[in-house]
Amino acid sequence: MNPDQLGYYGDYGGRFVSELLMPALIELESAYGKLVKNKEFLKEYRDSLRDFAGRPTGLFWAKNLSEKWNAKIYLKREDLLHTGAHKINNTLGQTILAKWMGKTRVIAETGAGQHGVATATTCARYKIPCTIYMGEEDLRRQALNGFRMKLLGAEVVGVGGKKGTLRDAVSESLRDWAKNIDNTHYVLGSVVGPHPFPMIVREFQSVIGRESRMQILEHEKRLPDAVFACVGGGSNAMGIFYGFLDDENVKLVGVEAAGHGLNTNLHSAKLSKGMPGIFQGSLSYVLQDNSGMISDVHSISAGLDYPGVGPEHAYLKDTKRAHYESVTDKEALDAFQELSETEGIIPALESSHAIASTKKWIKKYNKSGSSPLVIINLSGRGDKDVAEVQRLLDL
Amino acid sequence: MPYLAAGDPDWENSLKIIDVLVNAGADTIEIGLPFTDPVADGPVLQKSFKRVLAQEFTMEKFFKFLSGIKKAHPHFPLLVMGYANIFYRMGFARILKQLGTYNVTGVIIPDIPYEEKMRLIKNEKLELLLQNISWVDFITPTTTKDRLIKICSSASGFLYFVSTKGVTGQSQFSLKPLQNIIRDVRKKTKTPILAGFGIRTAEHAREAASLTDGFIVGSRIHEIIEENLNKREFITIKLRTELTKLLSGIEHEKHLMA
Ligand SMILES: Cc1ncc(COP(=O)(O)O)c(C=O)c1O
Repeated sequence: MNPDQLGYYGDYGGRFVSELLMPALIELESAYGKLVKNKEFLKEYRDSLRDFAGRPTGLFWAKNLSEKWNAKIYLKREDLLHTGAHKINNTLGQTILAKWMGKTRVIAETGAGQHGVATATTCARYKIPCTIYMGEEDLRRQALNGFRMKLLGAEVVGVGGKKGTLRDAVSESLRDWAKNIDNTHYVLGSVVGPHPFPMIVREFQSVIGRESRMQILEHEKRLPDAVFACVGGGSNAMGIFYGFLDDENVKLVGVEAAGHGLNTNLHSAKLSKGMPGIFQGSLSYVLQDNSGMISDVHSISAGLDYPGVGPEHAYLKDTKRAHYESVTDKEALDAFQELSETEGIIPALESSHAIASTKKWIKKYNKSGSSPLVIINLSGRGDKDVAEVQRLLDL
Repeated sequence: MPYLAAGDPDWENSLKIIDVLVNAGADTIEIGLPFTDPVADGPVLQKSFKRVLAQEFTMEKFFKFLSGIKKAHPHFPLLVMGYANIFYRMGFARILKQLGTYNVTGVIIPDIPYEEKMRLIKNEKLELLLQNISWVDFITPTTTKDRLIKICSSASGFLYFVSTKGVTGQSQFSLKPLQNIIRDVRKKTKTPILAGFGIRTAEHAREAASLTDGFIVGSRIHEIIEENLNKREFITIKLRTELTKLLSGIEHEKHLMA
């Protein structure tokens, strides 16, 4: 759905930012509204998605896994995109948008580094200088991506001290934006933050869902029983869900990081365990304590290690159109290995959460005596995680 | 008007600092409610919140602190600055009511702009409550004319004039380039204007006092706290000297609330 005038999806969303940023958000909303109707802009975006990023991505029938798990499983291959994740769908859109808006500088936050790399990449392509904020803990566990961004000409700034993660990177980006608002566009990396970001990012990611729907109908002549996607801020999930939102018989499942387990404090399952709250620009589910302090969260995967989630997911949860499950670090790690061995595809640790959750769901589904048709959004590839996984498995 | 993060550097010394600020002639003090993710604050005030949160913050401790101030200075008016989620979690009506019992005359919520404020007032039915406690609005260097008119038309208490693009604690400060915005505000409302963000020297203070009705000093105070964490008994002495320096050359009526 589209948000109301103030940027709300039902009770969630809005623009909780300082007055300094309001004119920029209003300008962005209006520029976006005009450009999505501009044929030249759209052509530039679509051409670059095709020729630079590599769209459409395949919908791959994972035959080996299907046999092993007793289901018909398709993988939406966002991992094959340039830079290795779905993030580039959004950064291309927003970078071109920034260029059309006459902005001369771009900033972005990054967790796993995928959004940072994608932003650095599209900024190199469109010749816009960019600064990427990344938590220091994330810079350690995703060191390769830190270096990759520098190779692409970006300035990389570590933030939040030793334990700095994605939330610190978002805060620092918002601070930078308030300082440099005249010439700078903030390429937010997920469907979070103040309106219009959740809407813009979802629109740029919805290409995943549109393609998936057409492709599954082509292959199978029918819609899937379920669609699975991992949820960090929620952009790859929103993107694929959007293609099936009106198909009420398609179950939509978002998979959060249960970390060490939902009964510990070490997880980042905000939709399962959080409460509504105001965090980094919007009203949505957030992990917090009784006084409203935002909790420290944990996930094996930097891209899911975030206490908040996009407001449209909060809306889909409350209206029960989507369901939210979670899997632990351990289950995700097992799925990471299993897909690698079974299909010759090394998935991102983020995407491994969606895979692990699908496996559990199929087992339940099989009890009814039938086997389901399911699509998993393979949001990214695991190259960036290989070193960290090696470290974890050696322990 | 001085700003102090409640509980910095610890609850006991925080109360002592309040005494210094009251005695230095402040007309009111802005008390900061700590938050984990203060997106409108620079490094100095981020660290001050971290210090408070490291002592296991609860709202009870915060209200106990306010009640301590009330005991020591029974009629001294306070303002409370806090991020939106603290208010949201406790409930806007509940927290506003409770704050009122501690001589809090206004609240400042940096991540709630005008539109959201209006929406909340309506949805949470806060009109009546806000007759006794004001919810302060912001005017900034980026505020457009049409927003300025809207904001001024419903302003209450005072208007917080953000003097620089960015966050608290920045090094540059000059109101002169912003005089036309101040003039526009004056045309639309009689609500006093207080300048904040980046005021750290007597010269800044003089400039702010000459163009607005008062000013807010925050980061400078917390720098002094930070510099003296290992000898906390010096904090009050150092603060006293600093405030005298800061206010030198400003007549009292001009630093209303300073
Ligand atoms: C491969 C991959 N998948 C998923 C995510 C999570 O983000 P979102 O929930 O916005 O898709 C990330 C974030 O960095 C990622 O790199």
